[in-house]
Amino acid sequence: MAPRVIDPGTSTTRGPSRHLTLERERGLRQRLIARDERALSELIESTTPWLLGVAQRMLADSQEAEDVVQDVFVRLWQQDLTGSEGDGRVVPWLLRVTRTRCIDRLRRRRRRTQYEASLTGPGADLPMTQPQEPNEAATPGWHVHRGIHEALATLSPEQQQVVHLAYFMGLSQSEVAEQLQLPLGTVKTRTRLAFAQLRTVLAPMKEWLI
Amino acid sequence: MTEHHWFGDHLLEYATEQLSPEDARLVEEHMQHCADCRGEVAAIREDLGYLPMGVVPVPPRPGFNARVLRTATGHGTVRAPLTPWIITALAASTLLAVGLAWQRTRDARDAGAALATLQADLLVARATSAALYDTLSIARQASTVVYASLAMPGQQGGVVLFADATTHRWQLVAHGLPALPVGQRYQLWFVCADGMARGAPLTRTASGSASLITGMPESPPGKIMGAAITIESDATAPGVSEAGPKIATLLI
Repeated sequence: MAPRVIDPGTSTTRGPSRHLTLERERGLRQRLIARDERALSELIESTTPWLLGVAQRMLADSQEAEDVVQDVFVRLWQQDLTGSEGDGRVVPWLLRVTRTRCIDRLRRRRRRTQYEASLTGPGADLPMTQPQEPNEAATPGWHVHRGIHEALATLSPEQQQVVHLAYFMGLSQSEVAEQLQLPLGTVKTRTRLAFAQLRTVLAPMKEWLI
Repeated sequence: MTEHHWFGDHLLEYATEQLSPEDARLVEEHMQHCADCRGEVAAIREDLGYLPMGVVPVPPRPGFNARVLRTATGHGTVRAPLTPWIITALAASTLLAVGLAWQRTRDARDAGAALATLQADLLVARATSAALYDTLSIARQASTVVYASLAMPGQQGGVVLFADATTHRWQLVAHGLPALPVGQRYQLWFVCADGMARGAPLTRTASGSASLITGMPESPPGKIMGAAITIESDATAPGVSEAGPKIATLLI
């Protein structure tokens, strides 16, 4: 039988790639500094699925998640990127600001005592992994997602639980303690140990080519 | 416990946005005059920078990305009309600016040209260093390194494959490649369990070397087991299986 042949078009020697490489991220940052709107467009294309994923998981509201992501890109475009914060990494900045905005909104919700709904809402049911991996061209950065789950798997089930609630669901440590019916001190200790472990495992990722 | 220790114990919670707004403000005030804590927060954020990508990505609705771009750049939005006094002020400031600029043009032209040259050089240097970093990072993180000699009579060359299992990317470096007749090229293939998947062509330099960084094929026919390099005719239509002679096979 003749071998099946596929033309993947994956080489970096070919035309423009949608892969989020470190080199491309740096190039995009330089072009953003030069106010190149195409760079912003490329960044939106590459990172929006991840930012929407973060916001939708935390807020459990697709409309609100879209509002947050849009605000984050507006802020990026208005931001002075010539500073050295975060070694000039644009993607971690976008992810962090998205989380912060979501946490702000969750806090406002909690003041209105509506956050309980989110704990049982669609966000809580969203899976953390997909049964089938999308192709890298359609979802740039999927291998980072896979690496993070490999890192999370190094934690104990109890630690994974607090990271899930505190980091990915945006609950405060008091709320995590309440949710898990644990003393606050236990939650703090578990969280601290979990993040210390994640730091060790994920530290090389800052040199990854996402 | 000293005040500094209290802050040190809470930097991780601060960097991962788990502190209450009140405690976060205290940490921020402390960091204004504590370089150690500022550095630690930056290091934590750098280490955990991609952690949010543990979520499953959500594809945007059609038109969402275009809307975000329009909103961010301000295109397509209605702008406030200019009032007469704003027009007058703009005209006056423009005249003033033109006058000042004319006076300073001579010196500024030289300085501006030098600055532009330096900025261009800096951008080139940054792009070059980023490309070098990209290349070196695969070699440094490679989980598998395979070497094969060229299966070409009378040739001394070979191919090295660095396989990075973390980022699922390969770097291939070939040397001693003989020049090919016009109309032929070196072609990379992914050797898979149930067939071959076409990779990218390898571009030979004048010194006989070739280098390539590549990701994995999207839907390989079975598990990827290695790489092969063949010599193909440019006339061969894409999608046709390897037809030319195989000059190297590298199994990982």
